[in-house]
Amino acid sequence: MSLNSKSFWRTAAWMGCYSLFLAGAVSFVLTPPKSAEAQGLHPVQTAAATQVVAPALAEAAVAFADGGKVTGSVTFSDDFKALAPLVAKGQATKDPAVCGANEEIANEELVVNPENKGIANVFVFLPKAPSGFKAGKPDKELVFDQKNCRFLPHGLCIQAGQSVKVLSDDSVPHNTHTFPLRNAGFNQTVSPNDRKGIDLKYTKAEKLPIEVKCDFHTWMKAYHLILDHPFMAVSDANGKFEIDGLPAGKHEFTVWHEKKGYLDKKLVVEVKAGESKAVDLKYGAKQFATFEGPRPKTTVVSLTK
Amino acid sequence: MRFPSLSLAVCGLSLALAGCGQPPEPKFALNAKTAALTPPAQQLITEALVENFGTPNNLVAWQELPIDYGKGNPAADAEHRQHDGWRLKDGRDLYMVHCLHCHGVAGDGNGSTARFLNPRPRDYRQGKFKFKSTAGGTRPTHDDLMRILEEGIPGTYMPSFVLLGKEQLGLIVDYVRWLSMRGEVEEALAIELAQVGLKSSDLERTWREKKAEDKAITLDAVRDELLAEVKSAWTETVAEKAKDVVDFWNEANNPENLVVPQEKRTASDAESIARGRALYLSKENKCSDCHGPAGRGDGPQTEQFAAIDGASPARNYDEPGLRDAWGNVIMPRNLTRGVYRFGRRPLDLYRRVHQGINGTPMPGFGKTLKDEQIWDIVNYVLSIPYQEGTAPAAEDVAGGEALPETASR
Repeated sequence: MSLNSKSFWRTAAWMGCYSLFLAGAVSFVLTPPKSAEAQGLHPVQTAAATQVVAPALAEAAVAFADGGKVTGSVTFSDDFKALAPLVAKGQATKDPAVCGANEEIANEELVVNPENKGIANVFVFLPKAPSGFKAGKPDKELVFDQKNCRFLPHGLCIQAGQSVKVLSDDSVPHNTHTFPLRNAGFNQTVSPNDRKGIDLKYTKAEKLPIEVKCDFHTWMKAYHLILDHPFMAVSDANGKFEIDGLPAGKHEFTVWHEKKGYLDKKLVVEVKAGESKAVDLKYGAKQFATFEGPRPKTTVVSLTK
Repeated sequence: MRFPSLSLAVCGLSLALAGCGQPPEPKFALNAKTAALTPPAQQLITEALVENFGTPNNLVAWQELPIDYGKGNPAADAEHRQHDGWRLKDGRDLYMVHCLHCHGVAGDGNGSTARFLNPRPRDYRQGKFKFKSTAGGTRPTHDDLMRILEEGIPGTYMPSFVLLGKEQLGLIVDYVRWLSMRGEVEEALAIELAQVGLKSSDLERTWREKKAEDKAITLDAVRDELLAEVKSAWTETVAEKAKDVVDFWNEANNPENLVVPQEKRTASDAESIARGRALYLSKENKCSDCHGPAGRGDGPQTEQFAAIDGASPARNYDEPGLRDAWGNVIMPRNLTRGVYRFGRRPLDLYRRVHQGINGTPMPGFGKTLKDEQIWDIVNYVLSIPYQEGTAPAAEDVAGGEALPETASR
């Protein structure tokens, strides 16, 4: 049969079809057989429940009445130029008649006192309750206020179970939106000029300070530290802090600040009963350095990964 | 050709079969937070997850979790119901058939169809569910999730699956809860390791700082030191995170967390609607700031730049608009359309106003408004779709901005 004849090409077409069919059938047959596992027929394994070991607390509450005190100061060791304000006077993008109307709203990400170089809003705390400590119900009520569309205080230490009242001294509504990890989130509005306040409660200790925001005024931010013991403090406008009632012995404190995170993971301080121990912490610009240059562009290659 | 249809059939069949083979094995995708960690840390998390949750084809029913996995019944008709854990397997099979293509294998809202949808499908892995009957930050109840499956979510691509029947829907709900718990455990572990300093970027920075003092130190040494510390307490860490998740989900069933109005709904008459309108526009509540003076979801807050969560130094998004917990732009509800996503019963709207919507900027007003006032707002909101072109007068609107006379607003 010659190459020109129709019958040749017809046969060739048929052979082509058959070989395709064969190839398909072979690939179908040769793929590895579906194991019983892959078909999902594997019986479901049950993992044994892991026990959570709660830390053993002493039977009798150790009062720590003769406790030691740690007083400290946190200072900035380099020259500091104040950060640009979040909202310049009268330039608020929301509620300008109230927010920043008479006074600018400073950027509290890093606050250094120009006179004594004290760093404010540094959290110093014990990551775990000291052994022998029994948490009683904290009776002091904390106040979390807002004025000029700023949260006051910027850093708040709360004991789990302590009642916090959220007040407002502004004639515009705010909302308090918390972002905890181990507690349920809180997102409620506060009426203008509400001096009675609404209740905010945290039931579990968190590992690090959590953010608190206002969705109406997007520049507003504060930090709450919630622990199951009272051995924590946040430095004031002069960089000073004080933790009282500590049992005698060596303690490992965590020093944390919102701009950098951990400034010191294990600050060892030895406390003697009934005495006050002074601690001077110095941090320079290097400890607070974060990369603030242009953001790298990210290209999303696959959305299904 | 004698049988043209036959040859056509043969060609078609061969082409179809040529593509047949094994589909790729489904895998639980890693959370972005886990993927940002250094690989040995990622491995720690992956191992913990595989040990306690398994893989999609090889599930592990962790007894610690509050899920009914199903006890084997030797007398059951279906063979697989005779083994323990059949409910989880059936739930998984149903999920893979009906839910996978939008919600993804791991429930990460990143299925193959997800990229075409707005709003995106829910990412269960944070345990954040928007529409529920429980207070603010708590998890939804079983009934809440059943309701979503039965009724779908109007205004979104989530359809109703009521035709599957209650039993099958119950199986899907439990599998979704299981996926959510798995995701929450992964997220908690990833955050914990990131806080220790095991993110790839943080590790490099720590190494550079340490190299300034000790030139010989290697990145591996720095990382191994941190990892050793983590590994020594790893089992306790995993157990602690699991217990947190279990507590969260058990709290959802606490009757104290159910949002129930204390007052009966006021009659929806003209006075109630007028009061509700005044509250909506008042400067104490400023609903109009997000939802717009006419309820169209075009309030001035939609032009604000939201702050990026957890960014340091603090900075805002480049595009204006409110953001939800997943970083997506979210529009305030357009109340003129009468489409309410989790039910249009007055009770559902009451719950939205009282508790807000979890995972969104919508706050709760339950602590500042009395029940009667919330019912007035609910009555007003329900009446908005039936009021033609009633943009309020300038003096009524908080902030006193004059609105154009024409009905363009």
